[in-house]
Amino acid sequence: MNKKAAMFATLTVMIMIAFTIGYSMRKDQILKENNLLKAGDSAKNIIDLTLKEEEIQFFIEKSAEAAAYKSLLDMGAKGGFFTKKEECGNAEGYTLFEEKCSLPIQIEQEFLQYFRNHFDKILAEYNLTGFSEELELDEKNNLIVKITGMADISTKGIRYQPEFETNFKVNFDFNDFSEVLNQASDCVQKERIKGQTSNLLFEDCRNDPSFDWVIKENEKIVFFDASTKDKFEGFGPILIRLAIPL
Amino acid sequence: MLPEDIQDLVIALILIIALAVFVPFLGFSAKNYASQIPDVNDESKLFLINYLKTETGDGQIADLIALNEGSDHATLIPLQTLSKKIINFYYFRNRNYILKVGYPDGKVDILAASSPWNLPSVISTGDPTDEQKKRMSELGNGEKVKIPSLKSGLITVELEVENE
Repeated sequence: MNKKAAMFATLTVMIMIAFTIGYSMRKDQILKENNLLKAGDSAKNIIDLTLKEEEIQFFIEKSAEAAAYKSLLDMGAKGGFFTKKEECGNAEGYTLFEEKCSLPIQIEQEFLQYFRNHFDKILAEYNLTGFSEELELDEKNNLIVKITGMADISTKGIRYQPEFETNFKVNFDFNDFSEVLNQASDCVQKERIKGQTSNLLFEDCRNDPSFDWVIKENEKIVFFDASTKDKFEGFGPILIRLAIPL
Repeated sequence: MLPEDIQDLVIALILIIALAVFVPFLGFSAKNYASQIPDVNDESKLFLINYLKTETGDGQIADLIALNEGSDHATLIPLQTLSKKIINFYYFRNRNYILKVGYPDGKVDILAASSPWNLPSVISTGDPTDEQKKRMSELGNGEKVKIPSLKSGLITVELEVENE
Protein backbone atom coordinates (compact mmCIF):
# COMPACT_ATOMS: atom_id res chain seq x y z
CA MET A 1 0.00 0.00 0.00
CA ASN A 2 1.43 3.30 -0.90
CA LYS A 3 1.55 6.17 1.55
CA LYS A 4 -1.41 8.02 0.02
CA ALA A 5 -3.66 4.95 0.16
CA ALA A 6 -2.71 4.24 3.76
CA MET A 7 -3.59 7.80 4.75
CA PHE A 8 -6.91 7.62 2.91
CA ALA A 9 -7.83 4.33 4.60
CA THR A 10 -6.85 5.64 8.04
CA LEU A 11 -8.82 8.86 7.45
CA THR A 12 -11.88 6.81 6.49
CA VAL A 13 -11.69 4.82 9.71
CA MET A 14 -11.18 8.01 11.74
CA ILE A 15 -14.27 9.63 10.14
CA MET A 16 -16.35 6.55 10.91
CA ILE A 17 -15.18 6.49 14.51
CA ALA A 18 -15.88 10.23 14.87
CA PHE A 19 -19.37 9.76 13.37
CA THR A 20 -20.07 6.88 15.73
CA ILE A 21 -18.94 8.87 18.77
CA GLY A 22 -21.06 11.85 17.69
CA TYR A 23 -24.10 9.70 17.04
CA SER A 24 -23.66 7.96 20.36
CA MET A 25 -23.48 11.26 22.23
CA ARG A 26 -26.58 12.58 20.46
CA LYS A 27 -28.46 9.38 21.27
CA ASP A 28 -27.52 9.65 24.94
CA GLN A 29 -28.84 13.20 24.91
CA ILE A 30 -32.17 12.09 23.38
CA LEU A 31 -32.45 9.31 25.94
CA LYS A 32 -31.90 11.76 28.77
CA GLU A 33 -34.35 14.32 27.35
CA ASN A 34 -37.19 11.95 26.53
CA ASN A 35 -36.52 9.23 29.06
CA LEU A 36 -36.97 6.70 26.30
CA LEU A 37 -36.32 3.01 26.28
CA LYS A 38 -37.26 2.31 29.87
CA ALA A 39 -37.50 -1.41 30.34
CA GLY A 40 -41.20 -2.35 30.77
CA ASP A 41 -42.66 0.79 29.23
CA SER A 42 -44.24 -1.11 26.37
CA ALA A 43 -45.73 -3.65 28.76
CA LYS A 44 -47.13 -0.85 30.91
CA ASN A 45 -48.69 0.83 27.90
CA ILE A 46 -50.33 -2.45 26.90
CA ILE A 47 -51.72 -2.89 30.44
CA ASP A 48 -53.04 0.70 30.43
CA LEU A 49 -54.71 0.26 27.04
CA THR A 50 -56.25 -3.07 28.04
CA LEU A 51 -57.70 -1.52 31.20
CA LYS A 52 -59.04 1.40 29.19
CA GLU A 53 -60.66 -1.03 26.76
CA GLU A 54 -62.23 -2.91 29.66
CA GLU A 55 -63.49 0.38 31.09
CA ILE A 56 -65.06 1.39 27.77
CA GLN A 57 -66.71 -2.03 27.37
CA PHE A 58 -68.25 -1.67 30.84
CA PHE A 59 -69.38 1.87 30.06
CA ILE A 60 -71.08 0.71 26.86
CA GLU A 61 -72.94 -2.04 28.76
CA LYS A 62 -74.11 0.36 31.48
CA SER A 63 -75.05 2.96 28.85
CA ALA A 64 -77.22 0.41 27.05
CA GLU A 65 -79.07 -0.34 30.29
CA ALA A 66 -79.53 3.34 31.13
CA ALA A 67 -80.59 4.21 27.58
CA ALA A 68 -83.11 1.35 27.50
CA TYR A 69 -84.61 2.46 30.81
CA LYS A 70 -84.90 6.08 29.69
CA SER A 71 -86.36 4.93 26.34
CA LEU A 72 -89.04 2.83 28.00
CA LEU A 73 -89.96 5.71 30.32
CA ASP A 74 -90.27 8.10 27.36
CA MET A 75 -92.14 5.55 25.32
CA GLY A 76 -94.52 4.81 28.20
CA ALA A 77 -95.16 8.53 28.66
CA LYS A 78 -96.18 8.74 25.00
CA GLY A 79 -98.40 5.64 25.18
CA GLY A 80 -96.04 3.57 23.02
CA PHE A 81 -95.23 6.01 20.24
CA PHE A 82 -92.05 7.67 19.10
CA THR A 83 -93.61 9.69 16.30
CA LYS A 84 -97.03 11.13 16.95
CA LYS A 85 -99.75 9.77 14.67
CA GLU A 86 -102.30 12.09 13.14
CA GLU A 87 -105.14 9.75 14.10
CA CYS A 88 -104.22 10.05 17.77
CA GLY A 89 -105.01 13.09 19.86
CA ASN A 90 -103.43 14.65 22.89
CA ALA A 91 -105.11 15.40 26.17
CA GLU A 92 -103.13 16.98 29.02
CA GLY A 93 -99.93 15.42 27.67
CA TYR A 94 -101.47 11.94 27.39
CA THR A 95 -101.81 10.20 24.02
CA LEU A 96 -105.52 10.10 23.34
CA PHE A 97 -106.59 6.80 21.76
CA GLU A 98 -109.54 7.96 19.70
CA GLU A 99 -111.48 5.62 17.46
CA LYS A 100 -108.93 5.32 14.63
CA CYS A 101 -105.85 5.53 16.82
CA SER A 102 -103.98 2.26 17.35
CA LEU A 103 -100.58 1.21 18.64
CA PRO A 104 -97.72 0.94 16.12
CA ILE A 105 -97.54 -2.52 14.53
CA GLN A 106 -93.78 -2.74 15.12
CA ILE A 107 -93.65 -1.22 18.56
CA GLU A 108 -90.05 -2.43 19.03
CA GLN A 109 -88.96 -0.08 16.24
CA GLU A 110 -90.44 2.84 18.19
CA PHE A 111 -88.31 1.71 21.12
CA LEU A 112 -85.20 1.54 18.93
CA GLN A 113 -85.63 5.17 17.88
CA TYR A 114 -85.79 6.30 21.49
CA PHE A 115 -82.88 4.00 22.34
CA ARG A 116 -80.65 5.40 19.58
CA ASN A 117 -81.28 8.95 20.76
CA HIS A 118 -80.48 8.22 24.40
CA PHE A 119 -77.59 5.82 23.76
CA ASP A 120 -75.79 8.08 21.29
CA LYS A 121 -76.20 11.03 23.65
CA ILE A 122 -74.66 9.12 26.57
CA LEU A 123 -71.75 7.86 24.43
CA ALA A 124 -71.11 11.37 23.09
CA GLU A 125 -70.63 12.58 26.66
CA TYR A 126 -67.88 9.96 26.95
CA ASN A 127 -66.38 11.05 23.60
CA LEU A 128 -67.49 7.87 21.83
CA THR A 129 -69.15 8.33 18.46
CA GLY A 130 -70.04 6.33 15.38
CA PHE A 131 -71.68 3.39 17.14
CA SER A 132 -74.58 1.61 15.45
CA GLU A 133 -77.56 -0.10 17.05
CA GLU A 134 -79.71 -2.79 15.41
CA LEU A 135 -82.58 -4.91 16.70
CA GLU A 136 -82.37 -8.69 16.55
CA LEU A 137 -84.21 -11.63 18.02
CA ASP A 138 -82.21 -14.39 19.66
CA GLU A 139 -83.02 -18.12 19.51
CA LYS A 140 -85.43 -17.74 22.46
CA ASN A 141 -87.21 -14.84 20.73
CA ASN A 142 -85.76 -12.29 23.14
CA LEU A 143 -85.30 -8.79 21.79
CA ILE A 144 -81.62 -7.97 21.45
CA VAL A 145 -80.04 -4.62 20.63
CA LYS A 146 -76.80 -5.34 18.79
CA ILE A 147 -74.34 -2.51 19.40
CA THR A 148 -71.20 -2.22 17.30
CA GLY A 149 -68.56 0.44 17.09
CA MET A 150 -64.95 1.42 17.51
CA ALA A 151 -63.13 3.53 20.07
CA ASP A 152 -59.95 5.49 19.54
CA ILE A 153 -57.58 5.36 22.50
CA SER A 154 -54.08 6.75 22.57
CA THR A 155 -51.46 6.81 25.28
CA LYS A 156 -47.86 8.02 25.07
CA GLY A 157 -47.84 8.08 21.31
CA ILE A 158 -49.51 4.70 20.91
CA ARG A 159 -52.86 4.72 19.13
CA TYR A 160 -55.24 1.82 19.69
CA GLN A 161 -58.63 1.33 18.06
CA PRO A 162 -60.45 -1.59 19.68
CA GLU A 163 -63.73 -2.75 18.16
CA PHE A 164 -66.72 -3.39 20.39
CA GLU A 165 -69.71 -5.63 19.83
CA THR A 166 -72.29 -5.91 22.57
CA ASN A 167 -75.60 -7.74 22.52
CA PHE A 168 -77.95 -6.08 24.99
CA LYS A 169 -81.03 -8.10 25.90
CA VAL A 170 -84.09 -5.92 26.51
CA ASN A 171 -85.79 -7.50 29.50
CA PHE A 172 -89.17 -5.98 28.80
CA ASP A 173 -92.37 -7.40 27.36
CA PHE A 174 -93.55 -4.96 24.69
CA ASN A 175 -96.97 -6.64 24.76
CA ASP A 176 -97.50 -4.67 27.98
CA PHE A 177 -98.43 -1.66 25.85
CA SER A 178 -101.26 -3.49 24.05
CA GLU A 179 -102.35 -5.21 27.29
CA VAL A 180 -102.70 -1.86 29.05
CA LEU A 181 -104.54 -0.35 26.09
CA ASN A 182 -106.92 -3.32 25.75
CA GLN A 183 -107.62 -3.46 29.47
CA ALA A 184 -108.22 0.29 29.64
CA SER A 185 -110.50 0.16 26.57
CA ASP A 186 -112.50 -2.69 28.12
CA CYS A 187 -112.88 -0.78 31.37
CA VAL A 188 -114.09 2.33 29.56
CA GLN A 189 -116.48 0.26 27.45
CA LYS A 190 -117.98 -1.27 30.61
CA GLU A 191 -118.57 2.15 32.07
CA ARG A 192 -120.22 3.27 28.84
CA ILE A 193 -122.59 0.30 29.01
CA LYS A 194 -123.39 1.04 32.65
CA GLY A 195 -124.48 4.48 31.59
CA GLN A 196 -124.04 7.92 33.03
CA THR A 197 -126.24 7.30 36.05
CA SER A 198 -123.75 5.02 37.83
CA ASN A 199 -120.41 6.05 39.34
CA LEU A 200 -117.25 5.49 37.30
CA LEU A 201 -115.36 2.72 39.05
CA PHE A 202 -113.21 0.98 36.42
CA GLU A 203 -113.01 -1.91 38.86
CA ASP A 204 -111.58 -4.39 36.32
CA CYS A 205 -108.58 -2.14 35.82
CA ARG A 206 -108.14 -1.27 39.48
CA ASN A 207 -108.28 -4.98 40.39
CA ASP A 208 -105.91 -6.02 37.59
CA PRO A 209 -102.93 -7.74 39.27
CA SER A 210 -100.62 -7.27 36.27
CA PHE A 211 -100.18 -3.53 36.70
CA ASP A 212 -100.58 -0.80 39.31
CA TRP A 213 -103.32 1.47 38.01
CA VAL A 214 -104.03 5.12 38.71
CA ILE A 215 -107.19 6.34 36.93
CA LYS A 216 -108.48 9.87 36.64
CA GLU A 217 -111.30 11.20 34.52
CA ASN A 218 -112.97 14.38 33.48
CA GLU A 219 -116.33 14.69 31.76
CA LYS A 220 -115.11 13.40 28.41
CA ILE A 221 -111.80 11.60 28.87
CA VAL A 222 -110.37 8.90 31.15
CA PHE A 223 -106.64 9.04 31.96
CA PHE A 224 -104.79 5.83 32.78
CA ASP A 225 -101.39 5.49 34.47
CA ALA A 226 -100.39 1.82 34.54
CA SER A 227 -97.05 0.87 36.14
CA THR A 228 -95.37 -2.48 35.63
CA LYS A 229 -94.99 -4.58 38.76
CA ASP A 230 -91.37 -5.46 37.95
CA LYS A 231 -88.53 -2.98 37.95
CA PHE A 232 -86.67 -2.74 34.66
CA GLU A 233 -83.02 -3.78 35.29
CA GLY A 234 -83.61 -2.98 38.96
CA PHE A 235 -83.93 0.73 38.14
CA GLY A 236 -87.67 1.16 38.47
CA PRO A 237 -91.11 0.26 37.09
CA ILE A 238 -92.18 1.43 33.63
CA LEU A 239 -95.17 3.75 33.61
CA ILE A 240 -97.51 3.54 30.61
CA ARG A 241 -99.80 6.55 30.24
CA LEU A 242 -102.73 6.84 27.87
CA ALA A 243 -106.14 8.45 27.60
CA ILE A 244 -109.40 7.17 26.15
CA PRO A 245 -112.55 9.17 25.34
CA LEU A 246 -115.44 8.30 27.64
CA MET B 1 2.39 -12.85 -3.42
CA LEU B 2 4.35 -9.63 -3.49
CA PRO B 3 5.65 -8.07 -0.24
CA GLU B 4 3.47 -4.99 -0.90
CA ASP B 5 0.35 -7.16 -1.03
CA ILE B 6 1.23 -8.69 2.34
CA GLN B 7 1.69 -5.19 3.77
CA ASP B 8 -1.73 -4.13 2.39
CA LEU B 9 -3.32 -7.21 3.87
CA VAL B 10 -1.85 -6.51 7.32
CA ILE B 11 -3.00 -2.89 7.26
CA ALA B 12 -6.49 -3.92 6.11
CA LEU B 13 -6.70 -6.47 8.94
CA ILE B 14 -5.65 -3.84 11.51
CA LEU B 15 -8.29 -1.40 10.21
CA ILE B 16 -11.02 -4.08 10.26
CA ILE B 17 -10.12 -5.02 13.83
CA ALA B 18 -10.18 -1.32 14.79
CA LEU B 19 -13.65 -0.96 13.26
CA ALA B 20 -14.92 -4.17 14.82
CA VAL B 21 -13.73 -3.15 18.27
CA PHE B 22 -14.50 0.57 18.38
CA VAL B 23 -17.84 0.76 16.59
CA PRO B 24 -19.86 -1.52 18.91
CA PHE B 25 -17.97 -0.28 21.93
CA LEU B 26 -18.69 3.37 21.25
CA GLY B 27 -21.97 3.33 19.42
CA PHE B 28 -24.21 0.41 20.22
CA SER B 29 -23.18 -0.97 23.56
CA ALA B 30 -25.72 -1.55 26.38
CA LYS B 31 -24.66 1.58 28.21
CA ASN B 32 -26.90 3.65 25.92
CA TYR B 33 -30.11 2.06 27.13
CA ALA B 34 -31.79 3.12 30.33
CA SER B 35 -32.86 0.15 32.36
CA GLN B 36 -35.54 1.14 34.85
CA ILE B 37 -38.72 -0.65 35.85
CA PRO B 38 -41.69 1.71 35.35
CA ASP B 39 -44.20 2.25 38.13
CA VAL B 40 -47.09 0.02 37.10
CA ASN B 41 -49.88 1.54 39.16
CA ASP B 42 -52.86 -0.28 37.72
CA GLU B 43 -54.37 -1.69 40.92
CA SER B 44 -56.67 1.29 41.55
CA LYS B 45 -58.20 1.14 38.07
CA LEU B 46 -58.51 -2.63 38.25
CA PHE B 47 -60.17 -2.37 41.65
CA LEU B 48 -62.63 0.28 40.44
CA ILE B 49 -63.76 -1.74 37.43
CA ASN B 50 -64.20 -4.91 39.49
CA TYR B 51 -65.89 -2.98 42.29
CA LEU B 52 -68.47 -1.46 39.93
CA LYS B 53 -69.15 -4.86 38.38
CA THR B 54 -69.70 -6.56 41.73
CA GLU B 55 -73.12 -8.19 41.88
CA THR B 56 -75.22 -7.57 44.97
CA GLY B 57 -78.71 -8.75 45.82
CA ASP B 58 -80.10 -5.55 44.30
CA GLY B 59 -77.98 -5.44 41.14
CA GLN B 60 -74.46 -4.34 40.36
CA ILE B 61 -72.71 -1.74 42.53
CA ALA B 62 -72.73 0.56 39.48
CA ASP B 63 -76.55 0.35 39.41
CA LEU B 64 -76.80 1.14 43.12
CA ILE B 65 -74.54 4.16 42.63
CA ALA B 66 -76.75 5.35 39.75
CA LEU B 67 -79.90 4.85 41.84
CA ASN B 68 -78.31 6.79 44.73
CA GLU B 69 -78.28 9.95 42.61
CA GLY B 70 -80.52 12.58 44.15
CA SER B 71 -81.49 10.15 46.87
CA ASP B 72 -81.11 10.26 50.61
CA HIS B 73 -79.38 8.13 53.24
CA ALA B 74 -81.77 5.25 52.55
CA THR B 75 -79.72 4.30 49.49
CA LEU B 76 -76.34 5.71 50.56
CA ILE B 77 -75.93 3.81 53.82
CA PRO B 78 -76.40 0.31 52.29
CA LEU B 79 -74.04 1.35 49.49
CA GLN B 80 -71.40 2.45 52.02
CA THR B 81 -71.78 -0.81 53.95
CA LEU B 82 -71.35 -2.88 50.78
CA SER B 83 -68.41 -0.78 49.60
CA LYS B 84 -66.59 -1.18 52.90
CA LYS B 85 -67.07 -4.95 52.73
CA ILE B 86 -65.77 -5.12 49.16
CA ILE B 87 -62.77 -2.89 49.80
CA ASN B 88 -61.75 -5.01 52.77
CA PHE B 89 -61.01 -7.85 50.35
CA TYR B 90 -58.40 -5.68 48.67
CA TYR B 91 -55.02 -4.95 50.08
CA PHE B 92 -53.60 -1.46 49.62
CA ARG B 93 -50.44 -2.23 51.62
CA ASN B 94 -51.73 -0.31 54.65
CA ARG B 95 -51.95 2.87 52.59
CA ASN B 96 -54.78 5.33 53.19
CA TYR B 97 -57.59 5.35 50.64
CA ILE B 98 -60.86 7.08 49.92
CA LEU B 99 -63.57 5.90 47.55
CA LYS B 100 -66.11 8.48 46.51
CA VAL B 101 -68.66 9.27 43.85
CA GLY B 102 -69.34 12.56 42.10
CA TYR B 103 -72.74 13.17 40.55
CA PRO B 104 -73.50 15.48 37.61
CA ASP B 105 -75.11 18.05 39.95
CA GLY B 106 -71.79 18.41 41.82
CA LYS B 107 -72.74 16.39 44.89
CA VAL B 108 -70.00 14.12 46.22
CA ASP B 109 -70.72 11.09 48.42
CA ILE B 110 -68.02 9.15 50.25
CA LEU B 111 -68.48 5.41 49.88
CA ALA B 112 -65.53 4.13 51.93
CA ALA B 113 -62.34 5.47 53.44
CA SER B 114 -59.47 4.36 55.65
CA SER B 115 -59.48 5.68 59.23
CA PRO B 116 -57.24 8.76 58.81
CA TRP B 117 -59.17 9.76 55.68
CA ASN B 118 -62.45 8.73 57.21
CA LEU B 119 -66.04 9.83 56.92
CA PRO B 120 -67.13 13.02 58.70
CA SER B 121 -69.40 11.19 61.12
CA VAL B 122 -66.51 9.12 62.44
CA ILE B 123 -64.22 12.07 63.04
CA SER B 124 -64.74 12.74 66.69
CA THR B 125 -61.56 14.59 67.51
CA GLY B 126 -62.30 18.21 66.73
CA ASP B 127 -63.26 19.86 63.47
CA PRO B 128 -61.97 18.42 60.20
CA THR B 129 -59.04 20.24 58.65
CA ASP B 130 -59.38 22.15 55.37
CA GLU B 131 -57.61 19.29 53.62
CA GLN B 132 -60.07 16.79 55.08
CA LYS B 133 -63.03 18.98 54.15
CA LYS B 134 -61.77 19.32 50.60
CA ARG B 135 -61.15 15.60 50.29
CA MET B 136 -64.68 14.88 51.49
CA SER B 137 -66.48 17.39 49.30
CA GLU B 138 -64.58 17.29 46.01
CA LEU B 139 -63.17 14.73 43.63
CA GLY B 140 -59.38 14.61 43.72
CA ASN B 141 -56.56 13.24 41.62
CA GLY B 142 -57.32 9.57 42.12
CA GLU B 143 -58.16 6.95 39.53
CA LYS B 144 -61.57 7.59 38.01
CA VAL B 145 -64.17 5.51 36.17
CA LYS B 146 -67.30 7.01 34.67
CA ILE B 147 -70.76 5.47 34.46
CA PRO B 148 -73.92 6.92 32.89
CA SER B 149 -76.46 8.70 35.04
CA LEU B 150 -80.10 7.60 34.89
CA LYS B 151 -81.00 11.29 34.70
CA SER B 152 -78.48 13.25 32.67
CA GLY B 153 -74.71 13.42 32.42
CA LEU B 154 -72.06 11.09 33.78
CA ILE B 155 -71.29 9.87 37.28
CA THR B 156 -67.62 9.70 38.31
CA VAL B 157 -66.43 7.08 40.77
CA GLU B 158 -62.99 7.83 42.20
CA LEU B 159 -60.49 5.86 44.24
CA GLU B 160 -57.64 7.82 45.75
CA VAL B 161 -54.87 5.78 47.33
CA GLU B 162 -52.01 7.30 49.31
CA ASN B 163 -48.61 7.11 47.63
CA GLU B 164 -46.12 4.62 49.03
